[in-house]
Amino acid sequence: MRFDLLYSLSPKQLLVGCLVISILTPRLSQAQTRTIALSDLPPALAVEESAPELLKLGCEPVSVPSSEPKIVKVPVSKPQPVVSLATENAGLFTCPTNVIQQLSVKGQVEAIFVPILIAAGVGWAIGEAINYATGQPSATGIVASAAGETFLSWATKAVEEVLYWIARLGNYLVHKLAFFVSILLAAQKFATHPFVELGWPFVLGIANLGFIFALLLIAALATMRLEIGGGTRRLLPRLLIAALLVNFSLVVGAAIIDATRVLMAILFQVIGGDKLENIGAIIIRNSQIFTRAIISGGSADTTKIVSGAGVWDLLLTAVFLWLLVVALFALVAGLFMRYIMLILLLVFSPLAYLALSLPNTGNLAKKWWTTFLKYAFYGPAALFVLLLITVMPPLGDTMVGLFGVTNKFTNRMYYEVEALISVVIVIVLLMAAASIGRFMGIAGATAAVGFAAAQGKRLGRGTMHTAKRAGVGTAKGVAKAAYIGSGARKVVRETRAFGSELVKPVQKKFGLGKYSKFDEKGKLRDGKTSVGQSLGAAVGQRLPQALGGDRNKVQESTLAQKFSSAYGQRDIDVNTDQGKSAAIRNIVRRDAPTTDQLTRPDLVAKLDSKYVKDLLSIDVEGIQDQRVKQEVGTRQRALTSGLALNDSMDDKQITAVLESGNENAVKRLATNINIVNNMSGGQKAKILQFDNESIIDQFTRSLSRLENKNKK
Amino acid sequence: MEEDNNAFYLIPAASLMFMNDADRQSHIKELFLIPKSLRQTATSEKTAYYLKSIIKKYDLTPPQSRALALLVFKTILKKMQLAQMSSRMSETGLKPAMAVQLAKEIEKDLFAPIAQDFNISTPSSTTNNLLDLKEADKNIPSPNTPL
Repeated sequence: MRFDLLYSLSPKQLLVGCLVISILTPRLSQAQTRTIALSDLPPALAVEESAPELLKLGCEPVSVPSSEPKIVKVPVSKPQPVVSLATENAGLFTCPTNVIQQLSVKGQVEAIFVPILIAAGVGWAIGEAINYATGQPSATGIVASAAGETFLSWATKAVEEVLYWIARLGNYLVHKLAFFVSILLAAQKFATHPFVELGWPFVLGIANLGFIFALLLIAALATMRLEIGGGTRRLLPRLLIAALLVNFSLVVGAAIIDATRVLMAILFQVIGGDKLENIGAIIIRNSQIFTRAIISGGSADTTKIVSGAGVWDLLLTAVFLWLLVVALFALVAGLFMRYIMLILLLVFSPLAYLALSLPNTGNLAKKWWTTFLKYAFYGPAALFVLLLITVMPPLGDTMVGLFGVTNKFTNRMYYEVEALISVVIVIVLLMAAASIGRFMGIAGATAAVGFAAAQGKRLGRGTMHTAKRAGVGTAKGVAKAAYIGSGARKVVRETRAFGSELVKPVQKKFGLGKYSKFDEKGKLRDGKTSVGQSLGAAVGQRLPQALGGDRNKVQESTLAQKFSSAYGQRDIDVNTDQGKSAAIRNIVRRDAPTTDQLTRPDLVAKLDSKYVKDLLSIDVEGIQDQRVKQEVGTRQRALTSGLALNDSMDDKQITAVLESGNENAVKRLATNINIVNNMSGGQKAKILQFDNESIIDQFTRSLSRLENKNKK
Repeated sequence: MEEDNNAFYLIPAASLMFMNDADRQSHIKELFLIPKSLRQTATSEKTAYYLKSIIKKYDLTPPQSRALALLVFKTILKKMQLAQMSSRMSETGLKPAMAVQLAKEIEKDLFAPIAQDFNISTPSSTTNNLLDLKEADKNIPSPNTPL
């Protein structure tokens, strides 16, 4: 500095200069600021004063940049950092040192923490934690709490927004699904559906072709004397009746469906007092009561969901709307399946009549009828439950007079409780209507109801979860997508499992898939016989006869072969339980002599005496299995008839009958004087020893007749 | 076979075949009322073989043989007394001394073992029995019928 200039000034000039400097210096020093890093600031004082109060005391707000480096400008004359606890935003101020005495200081906090805590968004929690740990509010904790509360306020708005849209989406779906319920319940096009109009004649043509094949099959069975499906006597009349009725299959089916439609219309008109087409609107009206009660504050006219109704109200509304959605979805799925299945069943109805005429396919016809009636009457059954929804009382009325409630809209708490009860009833009734399908065995109903129940369970948790995530930002989208994704996967899994269950009986019936006689490599499984082998064997056995061979010889050899394979090779002792069981098994085997064959004396004459003895000696009354009991009993009676008609019964068979102890058979033998004539003295003596008056009487009578015959 | 058949006709119960329907049914009823051991004797081939040996011993004719089987059957059924056996046999042409001898032998060999079940001392209507026997005799087969 050049001090020599001062020496050149006059005393007067120096005096004026000093005066000017003394006046300007404070002003200049007051306006001067310095730039400093936030971390270099001295600890901030946490004060109770609000921002306006601080400004009045001469403090200035400090702007803290959100990005690094955090450089702030602080007036030189106001070096003291101060944080106001009274303001929502934990703002930073700088104050002159002379006002510090006037402030209500609560503590100190490093100024650098303020923006960090705000940015982290966890200020409130950390602040509270600090306060709790120190036992008294620290400035750091207080500031942090203030920052956190700011964040919560913002997050609440975000959650409200998310819940609002969830509720709106639920509301939209309720409208759509209720509309579908109307359409599906009031559907009129079944027999006149284009698919049926095109498909039914086509299937009818196939069925008529099938009748020709069935006729040929019956002719072949008659020629080969194969007793399949009850034989020609049973098959032919059924074929003729079915061939006649097949042309009326669509009329019959449509008449049944129309009957259910009329039933539904009458039910709804009489009980619901409205047209069936309006059922969707009534369901909406009665199912939105909760929405109206909560969101619109009880205004019966308001059906719109309003934004900003509060997290709790929106959450409840969203949850119950979505519960309604899943219940309606289950119902719509059942009704939709009903419509589709009825149309398909109508198209394929000619095949049901064809199945009636073919051997061993009667069950398919029965199944078609069972399924058709189930689907047809699912509509009236579901409607009956839905009718209860339509007759629900107006909301709020039941609360008036109770708990001092005078106006149903003013006492909101009671009003909300009643709305809650009503909406739960609606949901339960909707689920009940959907569940009827499950009880009736409707395809897909079990899966739909199960899906709805599972989704309903997780809905509350899911909505809360989704809403919570909404505040976090991008995670919300990912979580929701994953959640929807998992739901979609579940639907696919359910559908696949359902499809598998549906296909299993068909596979079993027709021997497909794992039920096939052939393995994956196309080889015949152990113990299985291919159709070709069976047919070849059957034709081979009967071909000589078909070509004009001696029928009796063929039948005798067939019988002998059957018996040989079924019984003759085995050494069975029927006196033991095991032997008896084995004998019974062999006697009722498919390839053992049939009842018809056992009544024929010419064939019975070829039977092995051991078979005769074993069959007749079985105590039928002791057999537990009713089917086996009946089969063995029928065969015993048939064999007894066959034996009694065989005049030339040989000695071995007579002994077999006598040793079997079967009194019916012995008595039948004793009535035939030709057989009695063939008996040895020992055999006759054995008959005399039977403990049965009737046998002795019949036998001695035959002996007498024989004696008289010999005399003549 | 032939021999078997001959023996069969000597089974006491086989005599039923020579009776009319009413008698047969009445005798069958009686047969199922007597003790099992007696019924066994009446229907057994053993009895037939024993009677065959007696027939051979006394050289009885086929009608006499059948009459003997019938008398034994009636005695077992208590329709006739054992004591009447000799007199009834003598009615068929057998010498009385032989008839008595035959009756004693049958009593000893056939009825003694079953005396406990067979109440020998119980009297019964002789007149009826005689009538029965006469009735039965009418149905006795011709001598040509093989024994």
